[in-house]
Amino acid sequence: MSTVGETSNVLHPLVEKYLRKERMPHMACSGCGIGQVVHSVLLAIDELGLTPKDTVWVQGVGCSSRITYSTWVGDNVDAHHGRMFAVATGLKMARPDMNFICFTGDGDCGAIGGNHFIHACRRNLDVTAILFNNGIYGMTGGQVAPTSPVGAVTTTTPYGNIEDPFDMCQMAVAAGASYVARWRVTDFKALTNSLKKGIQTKGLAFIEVLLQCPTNFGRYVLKTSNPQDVLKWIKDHSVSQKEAEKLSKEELAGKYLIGEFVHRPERTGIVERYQEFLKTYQKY
Amino acid sequence: MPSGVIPGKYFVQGDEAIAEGAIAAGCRFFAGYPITPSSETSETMARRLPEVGGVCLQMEDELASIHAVGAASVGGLKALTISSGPGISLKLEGLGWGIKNEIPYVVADVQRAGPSNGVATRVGQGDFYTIRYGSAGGNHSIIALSPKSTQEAFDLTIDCFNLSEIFRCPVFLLTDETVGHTRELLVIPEEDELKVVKRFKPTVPPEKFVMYPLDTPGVINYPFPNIGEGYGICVSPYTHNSKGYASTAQDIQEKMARRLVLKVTENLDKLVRVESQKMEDAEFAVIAYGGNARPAVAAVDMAREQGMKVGFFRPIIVWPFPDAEVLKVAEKVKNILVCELNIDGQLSREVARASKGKAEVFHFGSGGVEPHLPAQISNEIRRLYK
Amino acid sequence: MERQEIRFAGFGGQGLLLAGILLGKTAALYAGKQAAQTQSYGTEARGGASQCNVVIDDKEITYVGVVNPDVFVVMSQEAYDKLIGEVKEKGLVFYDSDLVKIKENPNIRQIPIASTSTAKDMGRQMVANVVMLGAMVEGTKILDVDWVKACLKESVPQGTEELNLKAFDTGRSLFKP
Repeated sequence: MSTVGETSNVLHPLVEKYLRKERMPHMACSGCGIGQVVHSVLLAIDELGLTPKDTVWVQGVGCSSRITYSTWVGDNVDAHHGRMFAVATGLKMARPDMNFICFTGDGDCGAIGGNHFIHACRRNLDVTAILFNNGIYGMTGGQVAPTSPVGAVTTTTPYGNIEDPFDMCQMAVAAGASYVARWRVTDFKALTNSLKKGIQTKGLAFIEVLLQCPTNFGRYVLKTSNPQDVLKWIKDHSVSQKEAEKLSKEELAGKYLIGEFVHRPERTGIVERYQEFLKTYQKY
Repeated sequence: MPSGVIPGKYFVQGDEAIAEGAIAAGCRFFAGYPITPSSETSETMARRLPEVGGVCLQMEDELASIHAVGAASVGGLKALTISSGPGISLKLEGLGWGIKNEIPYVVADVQRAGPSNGVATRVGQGDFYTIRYGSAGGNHSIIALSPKSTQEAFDLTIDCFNLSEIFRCPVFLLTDETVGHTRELLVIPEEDELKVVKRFKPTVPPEKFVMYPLDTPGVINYPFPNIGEGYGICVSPYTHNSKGYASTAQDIQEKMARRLVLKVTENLDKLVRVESQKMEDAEFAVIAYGGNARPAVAAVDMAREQGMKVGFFRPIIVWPFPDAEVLKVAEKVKNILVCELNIDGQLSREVARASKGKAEVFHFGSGGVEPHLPAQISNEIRRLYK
Repeated sequence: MERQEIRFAGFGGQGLLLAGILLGKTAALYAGKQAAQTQSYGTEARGGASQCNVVIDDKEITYVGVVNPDVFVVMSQEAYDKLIGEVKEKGLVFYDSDLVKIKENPNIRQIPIASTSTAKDMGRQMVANVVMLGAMVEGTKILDVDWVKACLKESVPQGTEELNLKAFDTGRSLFKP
């Protein structure tokens, strides 16, 4: 099941069905977790019966985007760095009948595009956004990210990161997204189900995935190039919400909570509200 | 789609005329961020767009506005955003995305006195080069039209939308606070009297359609399929091949850059928009654009009354700069006085370049806040007239 | 008609902008003349100095601004002190005598109109601008009174038409030739 993008002549049936063959192999580093997330996304799309005619892939800039962009057999809209949510807003308001699967990274969404992220949540824009959180700037070569852990040594924090990381799921909940969840890349089934739930939820679905970047997070922060070591680090630094209830504040420090944080399908968003609003004010 | 055009006579501001022009041109998406002196356009769009079934959003910032506008156009809606100096400098980040992906939309810049926040409520003309060269990376042309009155703000907004479809690019309406805030008569004609260019659509099936015509760089009236039309389009920030796939190859970069420049420069004949007055026997020319053109015309009239053979010339299209037409002026007169609301000399620099030494070009600048007074310009004419 | 330059000045919130727009709108849409209205205001949302300029002409208006007003309608001392020197020789000045103390000047005619107190007596101080407009239109005959009234009726908020027309006519009666 992990053959997505391998330089084999045999493509995974989901790749065969939904991705552009001429864009394979993709450009992810070996051991990168992005292919695993894309696998979940394709499975969710397949199981829900979404098609290239009714579904658009939208990206920002970063590994999450550069690896997935222009690969979907339907329409692909890749934005400037940080502008994914602004672009998704224009697209969705122009074509409220279409589905938008949006890929973003921790730098794209949490730093340069932070304001658009907050306001897309506030508007509860009816799109599905998948945050690929690898805790570092991968594409540009291992600089500190707003999600990097305290103490992380990166190419721009050679003496260790002194800033706290950004919990973007808590931000999404506070700002008003309809559906917010966080998974590890290894939670394959939960992630796939969560993606399906998110796509089906009206309003913004924000799904964060913790994934391994052996090339940069591994190299600079953990001093390893082994993807399994990075996955182990993710496992050691994450805990389900249920397990978390049993842990003290000290035990929870520096750990990612895993699971669904909010599911409020009753909360309407801008797309629905605008259509209602037009019923009153459209004259011509 | 209903036009939503309400023909009639109105006494309104230039900013309001931009909104009505946009709606008449078929604009159905607006995203903006409030900034003086352009907010009246946003306010008019907020009232008018829902009436015609369009989408009007006030975004979280200038960047979001221009990106949402570009995206809405990719989604199939003609779209407008508007700003002024400090906001335009932010919007330039998103402009590159629109330019590179050949997305039709219109940006209006209601210039105010700068730099930085400057004087928010008062006029300036400092963005002439900003809109031309401000988008990082170069390798593109820009189309920009500049109105001198409320009526022209309406007419040229429609023209901007048409050119954005014909040339598949963002087009600027470069206006200023004087035009934006002056209330004047606006005549909105009947719908059938308006010339509106619809988006060009592919006539070949997706497998035969070339999204980015890199091998025919000068082609215009080229189709732009939107999302959901079965063409599987690819829009991205990266240098692209004809399908839209990223490429780092030098020959692809070369072709893409040439496409973005040549589609305009090979069709200059379709872009001539200039005004001349009293140039037949003129020995001295005054050149000005936008709201500052009107005191210049008044000054030319004053000079004529004093017996000086002075004519007036105005670039209505400011980008691409009407080099050939300016050269004709330069070949006719001894001196050219360029009046503009900046001290650094922007329009005058272009006039000097286009004149090729055929006439002596003088910059008559002001930092803005007030437009030039006719008497100031006429005094300058008298001083320089030989 | 020769080019006429009319300036309204006072503080923000007195409604002088509306008075100027009404005058320009009447000229452009009812009287078939050329008209242009411009304004200058501070960055503050309320208060501050406010100026509204109107040009009316039979010919095309080249310059839209007002340099030397033929008519100056003024409702604050600050605006009077700052701008009175720009009024054209033989120009007409309509000043709110409740708010402005004038300096004698034989080259211009200065006409007191107690618009603020008159509007207060009518129960609505906010119509002082329309009182001033009525006096100015009566005193200058710049546009047909019926056209201005028609434009006023069409332009003011619904339900305030009577009040505004009354204020306009009261203003007209305050002008003594």
